[in-house]
Amino acid sequence: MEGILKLGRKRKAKHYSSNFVGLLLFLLVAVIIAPLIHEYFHALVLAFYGCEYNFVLNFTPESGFFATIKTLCALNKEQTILYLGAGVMGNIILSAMFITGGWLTRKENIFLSNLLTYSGFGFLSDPMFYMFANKGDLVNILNLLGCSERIWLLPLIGVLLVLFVFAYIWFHVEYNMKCYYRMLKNVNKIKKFKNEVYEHYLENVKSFGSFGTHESFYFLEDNLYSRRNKY
Amino acid sequence: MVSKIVFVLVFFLGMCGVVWFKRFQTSRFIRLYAVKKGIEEVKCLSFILSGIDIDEKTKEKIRNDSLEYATRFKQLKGEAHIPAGVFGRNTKARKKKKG
Repeated sequence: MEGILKLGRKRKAKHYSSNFVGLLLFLLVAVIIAPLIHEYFHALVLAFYGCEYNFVLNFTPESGFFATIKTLCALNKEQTILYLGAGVMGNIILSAMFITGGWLTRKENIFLSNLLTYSGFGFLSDPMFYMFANKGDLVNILNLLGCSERIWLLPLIGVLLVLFVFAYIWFHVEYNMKCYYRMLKNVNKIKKFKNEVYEHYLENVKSFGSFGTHESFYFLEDNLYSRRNKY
Repeated sequence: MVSKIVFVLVFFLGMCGVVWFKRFQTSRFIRLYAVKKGIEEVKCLSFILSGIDIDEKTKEKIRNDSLEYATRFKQLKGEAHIPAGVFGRNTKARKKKKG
């Protein structure tokens, strides 16, 4: 019984801290890690094509981390599109992996699930920023494809992504809260049982022996279990 | 052009807002739902207490606790209403029951 209560307290602390730590991790990923990964994906594609390049990493408050990459070789149109899209696509793939991981671990480990989900959204914030920007990789890709008049599509996709993120968080938090209250209810039930009935039962056993009291103990226990299954 | 830091901060605040609002709404709903269940438990309690072999003092304590629970439900019911459709899946079932 003590073990169950200890586990309950541990889970309660985990639940409280997971949202807070997750949101902090989101900031860390969105401001530092995702932009860095974005730039390194560009470099990775250039390395894949065997193209030499100059890579200078910068930071400004307006743009965050960004790299100035000078290619020292000629790339054709398809290669340029791949090179420009690598940063955005890399972050989208990483965010999809993290969000899927968060979804799969939501039953086993709520703390890990929250961390994975929020960091996944941190990775997603980088491509989303390019959806709302007037210049950048996605706008350059559209210009290269000759679809510069369809630039209005990007903010539309961005708004849809924002709605997806908020809807996902909405249901994720609802699921978390349901699990948390179910756990809390069981822990409170055990606490009440321990404090009021079980202690009393032990006292009776000590003073009068088990005659008469063990029946009541099992009767009450049966009732508790049957009611728990009902809800 | 939208500044990246501003975009991330607005997105972050939006996420915090959704998390806070949903936590607040769900916790209020679940608390009310649990207290409502408490009323049903009070009804069952007299039956359970009549069948078990414990002294009157403990029985009285359990009854008083449950009555407090029931009173609190009435107070809460007056102050706040249960938002309909918080758990979308249950809404249809609840409507059917009423009909």
